[in-house]
Amino acid sequence: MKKILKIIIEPILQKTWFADFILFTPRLICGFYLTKDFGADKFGMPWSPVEREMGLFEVIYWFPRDVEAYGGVFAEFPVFFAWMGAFAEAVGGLLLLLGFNTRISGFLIVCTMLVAIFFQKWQQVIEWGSIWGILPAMGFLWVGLYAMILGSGRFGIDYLISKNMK
Amino acid sequence: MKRIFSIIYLIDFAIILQSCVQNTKEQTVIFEVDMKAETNVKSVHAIINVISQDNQKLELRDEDLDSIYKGEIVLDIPFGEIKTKFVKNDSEMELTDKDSRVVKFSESGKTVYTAVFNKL
Repeated sequence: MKKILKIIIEPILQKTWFADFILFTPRLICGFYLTKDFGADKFGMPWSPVEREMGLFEVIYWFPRDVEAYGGVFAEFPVFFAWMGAFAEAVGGLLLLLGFNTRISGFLIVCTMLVAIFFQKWQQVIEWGSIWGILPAMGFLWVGLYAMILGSGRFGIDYLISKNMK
Repeated sequence: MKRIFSIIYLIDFAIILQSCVQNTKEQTVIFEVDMKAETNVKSVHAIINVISQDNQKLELRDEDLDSIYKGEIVLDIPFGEIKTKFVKNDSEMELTDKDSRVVKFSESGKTVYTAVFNKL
């Protein structure tokens, strides 16, 4: 169990603090905007807009309908996928920002962004003939990918936990 | 036995997820706009603003030629009100520089909203 936890938590450290700081900056910004805006707009968080009347951890009513429209397995379990996607953005973003369970949150964000790119926004790519529509999702995807591989680096709760685990 | 527990956990998880979506209520809204004071009316639309969604445009018609334009929309949303403004001939928006009209829903599930164009 401890071995598995170590694989998930222990970050890959860069040679210098500065290199870790450089990698931390986009993680911080993406995590912040994911949890504050993109996630909190459709998933009930304490900082979600009050006028949307969402309870804590509640998905906004239209999101499962959107997810259902993707078809296939999404049409079979729209609530599950909507909840997971919104959770990944709102809570995953917060975890990414804090560097806590960074690899897991990175994985959730990568999965969500891949769905957003290929099932939600791909039609725009075809219609517009450009990738402008998927640029935000791609930005979060890249940050999620490196967070999934490297973990939190020196700037995150995972680093403090892994130091205490040794 | 382990398998049964796994199935029970999965069912519990599914139930939790089902209850984690905002509850909505179906509401039929009927708009009736008095256009008697207006001239050269070719079309009337209601621009409907529901929180967290893009605006919707609803065409209103005057089928009995009494200059009262009517239209109906069914909404399935969790909120108790919507905002709206009316547009004449696709270009003349009413109540410029003023807040939108607030349509409060009735408990019955059917709301009739009557208004005079460009007057609150």
